[in-house]
Amino acid sequence: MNNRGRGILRRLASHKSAVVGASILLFFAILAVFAPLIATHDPREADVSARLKGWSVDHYFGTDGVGRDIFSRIVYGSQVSLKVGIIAMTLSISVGALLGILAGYYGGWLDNIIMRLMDMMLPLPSILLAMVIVAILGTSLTNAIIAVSIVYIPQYARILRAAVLKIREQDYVTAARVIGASDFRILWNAILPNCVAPLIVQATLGMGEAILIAAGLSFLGLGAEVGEPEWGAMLNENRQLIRRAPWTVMTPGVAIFLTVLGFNLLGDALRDVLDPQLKMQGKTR
Amino acid sequence: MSNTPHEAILDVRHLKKYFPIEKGFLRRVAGYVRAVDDVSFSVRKGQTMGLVGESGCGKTTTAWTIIRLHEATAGEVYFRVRDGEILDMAALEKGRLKEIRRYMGVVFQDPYASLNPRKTVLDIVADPLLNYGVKRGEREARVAELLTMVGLDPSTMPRYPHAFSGGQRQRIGIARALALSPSLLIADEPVSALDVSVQAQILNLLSDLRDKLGLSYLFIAHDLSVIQHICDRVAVMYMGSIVEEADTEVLFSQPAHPYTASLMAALPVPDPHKPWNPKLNGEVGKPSETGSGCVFAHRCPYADQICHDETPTLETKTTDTKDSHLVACHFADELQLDA
Repeated sequence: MNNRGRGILRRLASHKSAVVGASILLFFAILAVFAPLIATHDPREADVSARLKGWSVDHYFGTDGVGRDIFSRIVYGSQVSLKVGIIAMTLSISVGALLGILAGYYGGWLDNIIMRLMDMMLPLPSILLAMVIVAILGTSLTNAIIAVSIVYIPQYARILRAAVLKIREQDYVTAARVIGASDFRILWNAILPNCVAPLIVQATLGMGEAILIAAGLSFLGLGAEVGEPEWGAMLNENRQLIRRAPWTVMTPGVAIFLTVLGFNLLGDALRDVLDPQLKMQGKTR
Repeated sequence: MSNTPHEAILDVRHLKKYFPIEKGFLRRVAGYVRAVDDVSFSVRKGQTMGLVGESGCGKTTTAWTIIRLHEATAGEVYFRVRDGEILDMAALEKGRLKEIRRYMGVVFQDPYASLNPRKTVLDIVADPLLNYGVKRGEREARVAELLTMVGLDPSTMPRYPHAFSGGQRQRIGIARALALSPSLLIADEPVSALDVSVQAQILNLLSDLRDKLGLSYLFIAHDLSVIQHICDRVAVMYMGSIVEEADTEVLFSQPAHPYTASLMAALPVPDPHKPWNPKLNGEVGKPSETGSGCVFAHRCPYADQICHDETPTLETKTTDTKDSHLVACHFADELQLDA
């Protein structure tokens, strides 16, 4: 694994979009981790005497309608976004992968029940489905995360099922069965490690989408509470000011855009590097 | 049958495996593919039993049904466990399979597909040991011993399969099959995916191991020269049935079934001046359409009306002095076939 892992890292390092994507994400990760050190103001503190200030040395990205420092709010907002992305993906991968593996490995009626349920969720637009789920659970950031996780479960279930179906027929899986391995050991040892590549790719791409959907929910008032430094919520709060103080809306918009772009670039690069069929195209890029 | 049960390690009797053909939305069973149709043979202790036939004739299905990767439709598979107890594999409860499977090693056809690419050689060969609770410390020593046994350097343990050639991979596969000291090794076309030069090495390794460890083999192949090289006794399969069974020498010198004879005629001769004319015409029939009559009747150059009407049974050839020469042909005693 070490050799292989090193080879993948080397190929990633020579892949332009991987480097750009990873740099963007690293930048936001640093913002999130060191937010208290980097932020210049309290992100929640309103200073009415300094409303709608433009870019300046005192307020790098200006202030919003109630005088909160936008730079500090962006910095703290990156914490929320990364949290949403990571938690939502972890949740939906765990559940989706489990369902997909069960469906793919055991097949039959179990497969039918699981996959038909997934089929019912897939055609609905993600944001709509997420809104319905939040409407049922109630408005809060936690519920928005849960909603996003549920929305992405079918994708992972499908990917894992397809991978398991393919790998299940491999001789080394039959070999494992013949030498007395239990179903759990076959799944865990023989099948799962060989499904990881498509999963990593989808998880990276999915993380960007999850952040986008969560921001969308907050923008619609279904996610983070009013006043919280969340990028989507910031867009919502300041949307009437778009003519008078465009920076109040632009800055969180650009932050969302960059994060999602970073995940997409890295995800595409990972697909190039991990998927042997596309490997050649990845090198020529 | 001439083989008395006490000398047979594996005794397969009237084994059948039919796969249902499902049609339409409601999965109505429209018919059956008779992949294995009433197959009986036995593997004698310390010997190599060959199962030969063209692709699709049911060789592999027979093996898979014996180790219960497929459930048999009918029939018995008597297996002699180490302490002499004879168990019917086909009727064994699922829960007891694991305890019996340790006595049966399996070598697979494609050494590129049968080794998990994400595992080191140590993990691959130690996998069966792990399943049967061998402790970590003992595992490594055992793997080193096994690798040496199959002619690999134990220092290759931490490497991944992709670092090995086809022949080396097959050696790893053999080491894995031997890990639990089985008494029977089922080899499913173990050399057909390898280069000819490597084939010989692997065949010799298998012969050596058999003699050294007192193993018995069920050896599946489609290549007659491979079979001739390694087997003591051979069963020829055609469309799910055994058409002829005899000791290797007898089979190759006096084939009694027209199918066996045509298989031998199809062997290419390494002489450009000698004409090569395989005798067979036509295609293998569909295994879903076997009705009455001999499975080989529609291709057989000697077929008569009786061949299309009645299914011949596998019987001892009477004109043969060897009593262990079994043929399923109505004219077995009359035909003069040359090898």
